[in-house]
Amino acid sequence: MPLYLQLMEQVKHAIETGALRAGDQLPAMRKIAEELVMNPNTVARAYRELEHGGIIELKHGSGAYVSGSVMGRAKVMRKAQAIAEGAIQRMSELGLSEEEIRRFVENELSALRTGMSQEDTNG
Amino acid sequence: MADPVIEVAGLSKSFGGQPALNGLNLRVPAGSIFGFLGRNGAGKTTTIRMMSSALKPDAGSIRVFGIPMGEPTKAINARRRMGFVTEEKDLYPYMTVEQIIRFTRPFFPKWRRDLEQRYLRAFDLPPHKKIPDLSKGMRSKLMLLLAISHEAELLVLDEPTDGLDPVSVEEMLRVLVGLAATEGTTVFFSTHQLAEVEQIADHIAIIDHGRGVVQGSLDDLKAQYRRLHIVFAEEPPVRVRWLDGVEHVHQEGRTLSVLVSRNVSAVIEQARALPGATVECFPVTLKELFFNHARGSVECSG
Amino acid sequence: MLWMKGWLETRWRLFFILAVILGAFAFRFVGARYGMGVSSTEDANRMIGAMTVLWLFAAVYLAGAGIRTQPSFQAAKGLHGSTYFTLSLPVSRSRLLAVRVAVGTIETMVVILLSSVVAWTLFPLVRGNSTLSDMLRILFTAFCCTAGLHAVAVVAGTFLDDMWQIWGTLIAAVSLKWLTVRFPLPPALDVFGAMSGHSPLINHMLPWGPIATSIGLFGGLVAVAAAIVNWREY
Repeated sequence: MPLYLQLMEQVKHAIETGALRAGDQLPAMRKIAEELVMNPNTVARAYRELEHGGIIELKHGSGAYVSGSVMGRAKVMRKAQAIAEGAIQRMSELGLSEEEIRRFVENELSALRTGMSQEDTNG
Repeated sequence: MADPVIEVAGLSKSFGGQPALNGLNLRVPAGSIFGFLGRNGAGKTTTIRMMSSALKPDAGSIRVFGIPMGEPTKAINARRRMGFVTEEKDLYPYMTVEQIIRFTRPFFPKWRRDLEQRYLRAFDLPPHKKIPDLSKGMRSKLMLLLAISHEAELLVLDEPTDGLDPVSVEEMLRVLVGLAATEGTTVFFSTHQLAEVEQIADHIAIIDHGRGVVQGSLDDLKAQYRRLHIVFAEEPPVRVRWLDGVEHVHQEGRTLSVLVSRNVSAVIEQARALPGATVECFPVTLKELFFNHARGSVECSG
Repeated sequence: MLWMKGWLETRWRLFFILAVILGAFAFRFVGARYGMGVSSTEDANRMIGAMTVLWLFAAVYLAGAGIRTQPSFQAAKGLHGSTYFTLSLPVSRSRLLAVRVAVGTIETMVVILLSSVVAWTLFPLVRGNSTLSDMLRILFTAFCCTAGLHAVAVVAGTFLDDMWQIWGTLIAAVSLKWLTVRFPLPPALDVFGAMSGHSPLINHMLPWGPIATSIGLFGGLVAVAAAIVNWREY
């Protein structure tokens, strides 16, 4: 994967896990370049793409900041994490194997795609 | 491009009748990190030796900061603003680390003692050890220290990471990136390690048999080049008059692999029009660029 | 600092020659009681002759390898990698050569001075009837007359490797000396003679002819060496 994309993923991941919050300032491009041993232009490109995607804001003269609108996503991700954890925990308490749990999840996902649910078909 | 820091035009050089450089052109932008790639014997070290005036051109010109480097004495002003790491990481065998630093200092009015000390510590160089007793890696680091302790505007490095362990390689790359990022130093380095170039370079040039075969910003080159993978139902056509932009065609069984540098859409059209062809289009990695342009033989493409 | 480099590069050669000469003196001095000392004017003249030869050898041995790095004792084969480091420095090739020539010349003078002073101190017969001004004249003559040969070695060093440079220069010098036996040089040019038969030891005057010849040779050849060093590629 191109280096600038990798960097973008790292920033997005940091936001999702809450390590970076809305309004937090990102380190200066030069500092990141040096720390990660990447060409400064590559870092600049990653920052530009992130700004383009609305994930960060580049304030002229003062630096790069995580934009406010990202917050929602991180919260959502944390909620989803909790749901997944709970569901899998309960299924395994019922005695289901890992393989069985995975099949259930995949069935639901494909049902989601086709717009039907297992409940509907089984009555 | 604003005035390039290094400008090579039609540079040619022969040794005993054997051409080492054959009309090389290079333009190294100020502040760039420029990777100079080529196989062994392609002409990298010869080019770099011309940048220190150790060798003089047979034809063509080589200018640094606008100063022609063919005249060793006139080029002193350029060398004062440059730092070098030479191919053989050899320094005077009768000196210690501390002595060679003391030796080098007076040549550079902009020498910074604080930088010298900082790098001495960072590179962990024992000041009183004799140079031949240092490992190759430490000698490379020592050469780098001498090159970067005087606020050089341009660094010319011949395989600077050669022989270094992975940790030291990363350390050296970090120093180079740091200098480019914070001081705007132009870094020109030759290497075999494509990974290093991918990691830190923003411009590259590939040299093959003494001529430049690819040059430009790495982002642009990757945006511009495509590899077409054409699978034929039957035998591929024997002779295809490929459009301009096709650099190289390689056949394996019923598959043609076509490297395209420009005119991509037109070439894709042309490929699709071939009887029984299924065409897929892929981005090109630096490795593919290098392997296709530095094969050491010239292949016709139509 | 080029002077520091020159010194570090050549000091073992200097010490080697001094050790040989002073060792020989010690041997003859201590050996006096066993009949191996300098006990006659023939002995003294032979010693002076031997010293002269050693001075000439020193003049050749202490000449550098142009602007190339000259590792201490190993024969400098071809180019030492560090020469490229030297060339990358912002200093003219002429200056590099000039300092190296100066270091070699000064070291040759040190050899001449030290060996003369020690010989005159230890061996009265070698000193003979020389007054202080005689001795100064002898030293000055020797400095000047070895300079010519030194410059020949300097030029040789700009394109020949160590062993070739040394042997080449010595063979050239010996051949020349042999030629002057067959075809005697006019006194004005007789550099060899100035250091032996016609030396101030005997004449109590400075042999201006040979001195001028040698100095002229030195100047001319060093200029040639500078031209070579600037023109050639590494």
